[in-house]
Amino acid sequence: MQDEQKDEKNWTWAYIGVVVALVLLIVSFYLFTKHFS
Amino acid sequence: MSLIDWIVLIVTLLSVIGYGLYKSKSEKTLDGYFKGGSSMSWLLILLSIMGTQASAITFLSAPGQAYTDGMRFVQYYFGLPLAMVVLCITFIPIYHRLKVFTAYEYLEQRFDLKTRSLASILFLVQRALSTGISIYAPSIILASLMGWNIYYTNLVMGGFLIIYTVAGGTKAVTYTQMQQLIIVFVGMFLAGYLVVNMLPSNVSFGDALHVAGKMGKLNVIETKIDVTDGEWWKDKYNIWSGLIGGFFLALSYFGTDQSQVGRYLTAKSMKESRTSLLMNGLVKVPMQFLILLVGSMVFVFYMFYSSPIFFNQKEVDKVLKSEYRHEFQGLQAKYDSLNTIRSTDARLLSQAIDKDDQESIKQVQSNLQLVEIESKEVRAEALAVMKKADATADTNDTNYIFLYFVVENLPKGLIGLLIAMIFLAAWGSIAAALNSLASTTMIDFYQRLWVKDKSELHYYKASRWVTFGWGLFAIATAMFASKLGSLIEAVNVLGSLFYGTILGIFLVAFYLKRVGSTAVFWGAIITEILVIVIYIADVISFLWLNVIGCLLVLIIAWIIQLFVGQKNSPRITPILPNDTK
Repeated sequence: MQDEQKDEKNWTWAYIGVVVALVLLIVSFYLFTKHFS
Repeated sequence: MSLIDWIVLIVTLLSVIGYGLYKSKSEKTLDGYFKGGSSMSWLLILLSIMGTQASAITFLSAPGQAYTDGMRFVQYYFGLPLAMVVLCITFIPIYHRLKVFTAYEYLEQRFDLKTRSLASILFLVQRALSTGISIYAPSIILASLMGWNIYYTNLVMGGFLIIYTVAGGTKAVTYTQMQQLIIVFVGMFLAGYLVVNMLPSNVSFGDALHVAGKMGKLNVIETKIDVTDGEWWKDKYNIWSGLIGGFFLALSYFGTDQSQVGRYLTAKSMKESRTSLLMNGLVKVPMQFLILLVGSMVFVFYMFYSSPIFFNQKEVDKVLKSEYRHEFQGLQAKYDSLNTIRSTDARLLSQAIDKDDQESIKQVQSNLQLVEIESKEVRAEALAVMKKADATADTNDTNYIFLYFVVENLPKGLIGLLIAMIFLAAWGSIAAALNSLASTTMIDFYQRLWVKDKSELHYYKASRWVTFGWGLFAIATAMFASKLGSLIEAVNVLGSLFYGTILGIFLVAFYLKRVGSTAVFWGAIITEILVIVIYIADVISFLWLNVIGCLLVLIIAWIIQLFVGQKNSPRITPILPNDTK
């Protein structure tokens, strides 16, 4: 049961990581567009 | 095409077929044939998911899109990572717990047989038609540029992959997709490297980026929002349609389209499925960005070197044989002289950028923009002449730009590899489509309704015949597609006509616990009719149809349930995403 909970917690962090990566990507694309325009 | 290109092309294609056959040994059961014995690692599944989504048109169209419209197309994928997270939380646990073969099996457990069959039929219709188009669309481009016969090209594009797809089922499809994707990435990398390398010696990659940016080709993000403007809703690629419309599209495509669900159901565990989807969410957007960047660099290449007035040479040849040839040649000469001015200005811009001379940059940039406007006007006149010469002429050459560049500029051997890349990209997605059409036909209809209680060997053999049958159907559709003309574009958006409805059915299943089978069935039917009406009215970009379709199913099913009442509530205790056992 504890292992299961720990596993789910790890997955939650993985999901947060994907969302944060997307935000960073969009921000860097925005800066890229601004820099080269 | 030179002999060496032919050798590279044939050897590459044969090696993939050979590898597919080598990997085609699987257990002679439905589980072995459609789920590869549930033994795949996340990396294999990731490559398979990517190989299924990226068709030949992805690699032909995306660089052309960047050439004509800049890089804003990448926003189309912004909703994908978010959809991957939702899939991992909701869809994956259910599919794994129930050990389903197809996504639609779950719907019978949650609702009833007719809802399962409705979703399966919607999938079969759209996937069967779009598979035929996935064969025809790259074939017509290759046939036009290389002077090949369209029917033979269709046969190679859609025929050879049937050999290993029938022989080895999902396992052969997955392993060949890995090999295909590696070749595709190598090809795209080499093309990207060479296009930058072929720029004038004093133009660096950094200069090329600045030139592309000054010409508006690095417009990755478009944040403009104006919900009162009808044109804004029709705009396909901005951050809002990408995040919201793209999210619903990706959720539906990866969560309910059997061609994708069938990929991650082959995982040896739920952990492997989840990892593959999350990794897909991480790599898909950067990958698409790089493919578009190649297109932007092709644009910069044609700033320095002369570009044709129209990239589809077959259409040009037709007008040159017509009575309008003098008019067209006059426009061609005008376009060529603009090319010369453009090339000189591009060199001046590059020098000004090197010196960081802001005043000169602004001056040359404005000159170049004027040349661009004039070039576009001359091109528009040339297209009008083409239409006068032949009313059925295809005046959209976006998909021809990248391959034209490859054939005209890349060294011998590499042309063969890049053409092989187009075939292999097509094979990867078509093979997965045939495999999923077969699994849905077998599991949701043949075994469930038509021929029950037969041996595993019987179903295995029938699965191979069904896969073969779908392969023939796809090729026949491709052969017939040449007579469809402009309808092809409508078939391209076919997915968005059905995806919203199918996703809506699944979301009702997951989240509206009180809604039963009758309500969701009629909710889906009414929604489908409304979505088709909205599409025909042409008031909104097709990406939004996914959102509208999904929300309409949720609302209409909920309203119908209020009238139907408790007697049609779920027959059994529904299995929902947050159930732990």
